[in-house]
Amino acid sequence: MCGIGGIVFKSRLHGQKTGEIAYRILHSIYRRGPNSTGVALWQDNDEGLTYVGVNVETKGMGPKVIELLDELGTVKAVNDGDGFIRAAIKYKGDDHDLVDAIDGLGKGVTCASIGSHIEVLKHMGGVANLEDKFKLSAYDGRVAIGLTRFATESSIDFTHAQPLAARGARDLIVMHNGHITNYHRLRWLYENKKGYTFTTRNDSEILCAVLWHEMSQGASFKEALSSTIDLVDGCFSYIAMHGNEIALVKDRYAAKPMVVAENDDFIAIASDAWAICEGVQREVNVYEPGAGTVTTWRLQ
Amino acid sequence: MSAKEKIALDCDKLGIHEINLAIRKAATDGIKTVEILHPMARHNLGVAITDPIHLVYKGDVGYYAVSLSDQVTAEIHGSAGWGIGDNLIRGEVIVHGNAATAAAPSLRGGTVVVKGSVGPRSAIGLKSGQLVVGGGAGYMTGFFMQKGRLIICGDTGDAIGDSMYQGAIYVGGTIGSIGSGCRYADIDAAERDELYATLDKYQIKAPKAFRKVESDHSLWHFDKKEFEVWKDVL
Repeated sequence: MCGIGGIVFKSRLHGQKTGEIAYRILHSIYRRGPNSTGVALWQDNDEGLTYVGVNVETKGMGPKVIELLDELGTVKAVNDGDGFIRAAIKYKGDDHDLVDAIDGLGKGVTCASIGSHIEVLKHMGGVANLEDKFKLSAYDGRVAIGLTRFATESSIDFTHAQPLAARGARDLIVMHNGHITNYHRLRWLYENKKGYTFTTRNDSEILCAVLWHEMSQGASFKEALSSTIDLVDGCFSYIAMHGNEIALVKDRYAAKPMVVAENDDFIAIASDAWAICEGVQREVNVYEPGAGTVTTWRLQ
Repeated sequence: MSAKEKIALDCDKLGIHEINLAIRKAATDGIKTVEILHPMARHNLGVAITDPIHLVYKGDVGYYAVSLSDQVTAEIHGSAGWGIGDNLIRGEVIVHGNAATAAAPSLRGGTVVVKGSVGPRSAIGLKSGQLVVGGGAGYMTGFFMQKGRLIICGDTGDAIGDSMYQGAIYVGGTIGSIGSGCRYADIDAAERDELYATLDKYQIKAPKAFRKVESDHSLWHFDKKEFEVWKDVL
């Protein structure tokens, strides 16, 4: 059991502050996952920055990560959250070089995400830590969707906290509530036959691998999402974000909850309606997409 | 109505445990009606209530409202989350909106009425009683039903009644598909009259006709010689 929840504003102009709503939704959904909390934010990014998230499990490595980022590009903003580093850099090089350099820094340091628009923030425990380290409530962009993790498979640490990004892929992240039962077989396949390098031991990362592989073979985002329903066994309700697209995917048994409230202003998504009500501070009409469905929205 | 006959509990001011204790105490004290204000889709509101009482929820409820309860009647002026009325023994729950996954699971008796639609696996493991749905029903509704009655006025998803033992499912709309171990059956006049009387009682617009789905008994006994039958069963 994990909790997923967040909000997507249809326009840049919106009443309530995005980060504050996301904070309340994630605070509410904490009851479904106390281990760690992560959030994906969508940045307009008019300055052409690269948003980098770095898992830093080894104490004292933070300054070395920042130093490296400043060597590879120019650090415009950085925040060492003690376990997770959030940075916005000017970077003109190859994305794989950036990821390889970060992962090569030493044990416990891995690139969590890179994006032109999608920025990932993660911390342990509840959303209060995200607020304390990264001031989530100050964010007022168009998308803030997060996951509170209840770990069932892999370690409870920053690396295995979600959202998870496809390694080396810009703006492609997944937040997964569920359990993937053919994970070991698929991991072997994607690692040995399809050329994907895993960052974590989290079963959810297989969704990143499938999406990355399908799209690198020419599939559209929606086609890649549909293929996960056929390829991945187990139960899942997951959110994927790619570029300016946001998707909700449900397994063919609809075994995990996820409801949607949509009106002219926003799309709110959460594992239960209660979290949305607490987030937007009023009652909402929700619907639940059916078994084996892919629902997508595109930011205009 | 005197104060002793009716009380109101505000979910914005009381915790869920406090609300449940207060409902239980009200039922024991013989109070007839409890209004639950600002439920805001919170979970577990009104569970394990075993003395007679009438609950009025003024808004959406979350998971497992009116669950593990007996002799309770309830009206929900909104929609319900997963597992509304779980394991109800006697009583009646009326949801004016929609209900999510597994509405009315494992009922032992009583009636759950959903004026809107219900999600997947509704009436799962129904043991007695009935679920009446004004709208449609999701995938695998009536899964593993053992007894009781399921009335769906609208369309359904796939695998309706999968692995059901006994009981009857009546569908007014289009059936996506019937599940393993199911077959279509005829409806006799008395059954039909009872169906329409039930819908009339709850003021649900009745469809022109119903189709009935019941168990074909093929999954009652396992025989490895019949492996083909079992291959596709979940």
